Amino acid sequence: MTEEIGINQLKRRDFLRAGLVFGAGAAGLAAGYAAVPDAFARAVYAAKTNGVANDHVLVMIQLAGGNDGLRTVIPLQDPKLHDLRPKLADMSVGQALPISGDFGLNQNLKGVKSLWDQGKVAIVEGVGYPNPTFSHFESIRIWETGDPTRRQVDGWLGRTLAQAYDSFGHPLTGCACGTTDVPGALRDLQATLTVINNQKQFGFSGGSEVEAAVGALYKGTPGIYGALFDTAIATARETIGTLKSSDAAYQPMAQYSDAAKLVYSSKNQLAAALQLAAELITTGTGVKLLHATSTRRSAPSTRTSARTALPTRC
Amino acid sequence: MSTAERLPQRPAVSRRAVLGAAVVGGAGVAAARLWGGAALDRLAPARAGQANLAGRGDWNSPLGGESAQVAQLLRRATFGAGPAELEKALSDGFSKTVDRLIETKYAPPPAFGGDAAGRLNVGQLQQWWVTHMLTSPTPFAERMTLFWHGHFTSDFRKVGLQTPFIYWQNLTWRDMALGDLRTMLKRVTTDPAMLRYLDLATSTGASPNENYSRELMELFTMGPGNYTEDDVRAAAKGLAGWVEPRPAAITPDQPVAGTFAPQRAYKGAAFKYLGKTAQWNTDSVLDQILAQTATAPFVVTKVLQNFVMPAPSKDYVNRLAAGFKSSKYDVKTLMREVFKSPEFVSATAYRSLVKSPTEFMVHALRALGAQSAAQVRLALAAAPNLGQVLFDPPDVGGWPNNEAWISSNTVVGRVNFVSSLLDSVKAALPSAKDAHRQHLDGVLSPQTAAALNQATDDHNRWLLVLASPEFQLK
Repeated sequence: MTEEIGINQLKRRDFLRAGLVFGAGAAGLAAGYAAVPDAFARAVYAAKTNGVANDHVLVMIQLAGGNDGLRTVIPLQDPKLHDLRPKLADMSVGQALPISGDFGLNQNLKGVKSLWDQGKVAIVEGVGYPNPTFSHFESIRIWETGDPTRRQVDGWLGRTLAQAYDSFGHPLTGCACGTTDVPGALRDLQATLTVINNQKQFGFSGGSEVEAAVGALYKGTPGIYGALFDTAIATARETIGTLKSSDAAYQPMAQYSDAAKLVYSSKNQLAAALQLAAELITTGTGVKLLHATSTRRSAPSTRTSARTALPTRC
Repeated sequence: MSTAERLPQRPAVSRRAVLGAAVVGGAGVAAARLWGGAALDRLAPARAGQANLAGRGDWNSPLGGESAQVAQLLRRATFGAGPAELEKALSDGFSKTVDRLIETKYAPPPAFGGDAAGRLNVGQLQQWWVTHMLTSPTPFAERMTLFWHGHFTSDFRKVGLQTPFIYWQNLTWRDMALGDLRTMLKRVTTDPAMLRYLDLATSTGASPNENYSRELMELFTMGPGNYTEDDVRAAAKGLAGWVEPRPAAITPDQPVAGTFAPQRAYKGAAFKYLGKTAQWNTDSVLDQILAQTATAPFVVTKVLQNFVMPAPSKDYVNRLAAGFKSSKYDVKTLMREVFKSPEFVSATAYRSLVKSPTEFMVHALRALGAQSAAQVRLALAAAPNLGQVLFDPPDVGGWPNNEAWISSNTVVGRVNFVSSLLDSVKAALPSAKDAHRQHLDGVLSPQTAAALNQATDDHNRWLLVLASPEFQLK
């Protein structure tokens, strides 16, 4: 674990500053915490209506952690900003990059602004829910399930996958890249989902004999976790096979060189996750939903601001 | 925790049906319940060597027998047992083993130190702790320390490595692990790493920081829904005033608490907190939290989900919570009640918990008698991919549990850890002849039984035992 520390700490701030520059052959869509899940879910349902044999792919990039919505998309005209957060208003409004008469982007979001000017950015502002709790965990759960009543346990993307696609036998229909466990938004026991933390290490290090032995071991496993275990192993085996062929077919459009001073070096976990996403899309694995995350809050002060991540109404 | 509560209602069966891999249990399949006698060598080894193990599609609970109870106790209260420990516990019996685990004073780990400049190396710190989990004569203390590490979380990223604070926190959590909750909460509140992690050290009466106040109630003691936002702000005022220890007070292996700076405390009028108006301070805030009806059930639920079952009934929780509260929140009393409750050895509890990555890897190391620094490093190297890095929980809520440990990524990672571990001990593998009894209670699925029947050597048998679904559960 020591080797991993320190090399994959992409700062969310850097990510935002560089702009949500992403698109890999098929349609790329970036959604931060301010996105309304339903809007994207509807887009995916629409894709099914149109037939799934298209190249519509949803790539969700989750910037986990806190973000001050009012410093990201700044209400330029709202007097309440000056009344309630005078310091913030003073330091933001004058320098904002206007995107309309009412709103401006933070001065560091030049990349996003340029995409906005090309009509490639949608912003959903002021997302919240009735009677908000200030609990980070409750809010995240509501965001992940898309259910402010807190009854729903499956994630909105997982439900989308289960309802809109036949993912059985096609584990790469939905794939979480660059993480070890199933992200909350993708959770749904009725959906087959792959999780790949590190593409290069994904596979059985003991070789095909071990893989076959384990495959035989995890069939009809008893107990309350039996189905989860069996699905996880079956999914992993399918994925290993698919990755092998897509690796062989993959021709990167860009060279990922650390010398080129890319914002996202190849050692960066999010960058590696997005490269995997690109590979899965362009090599025709049939992937429909991809999830990449900046994994964890890392900036020391995020916990304070995490509390304001959702309710950004001014 | 909320995810675990819903597990039994999940339509696991339909998923299995979808997979088309359902195996019909019963129907002439003989049970492989090999636990029976009081000690391993008195088990019915009858089955002519290993040739014909049989499995069952439903893993019938063997917990009616005392030896299986003892084995489960060691899997859950410690990190699994090697042959000698198992033998001793089996001859002592269940009740005596519970008492011994709980009453034996913890063996302190060796001093960790740090480099000359006093800077911690987190990889070395992880190695130090895992080594102690592996070799300590009091592994229950290590298991409890791990539990509290996931409950009263802090991570080295925010706490930093320039001071020994995150290391001290480990020493403190071990030292308080079986104390009373009131004393624990005071130590947690004034712990230097926690003062940094949840910002209490920067909180003042004039400008209170709400982070610690909120998590103290939401995650550490009461759970959401049992206090208001006004209560969060009020407790923040009452708790303000603590600062980190002065640099002169810091010596590497001697933890000290933060100190109270009265000039930073709240100096205004009395205010309302959890229904009562008073001049609140840290001690009275903690007392008021312990006076709430939500507190004991909240902590007990978390303990039960870690040690007994993912979805304990309300009655069960409330029964233990009442005892916990009337014992003045004595954790030792609570843990004894937990292990000696009928629910702990109920069929529902059997294989109802997924080993965390740390538990899984330490148990595997213990099973093979693997204790070298290089072997511990194998576990550290595998940990990020399995989802649990010590001193680095994903957030202040600690690690998720049970089904959250299972994904296509982590199951492969677990198998790969076993492969690398077995490769590292190839020269002197212990015999795997009894491994399925020592570590899997002899309760096998048909697939595991069949695979073991076909395995030709110790390497393969160990691989199957340690990579089996049975071994992933505790």
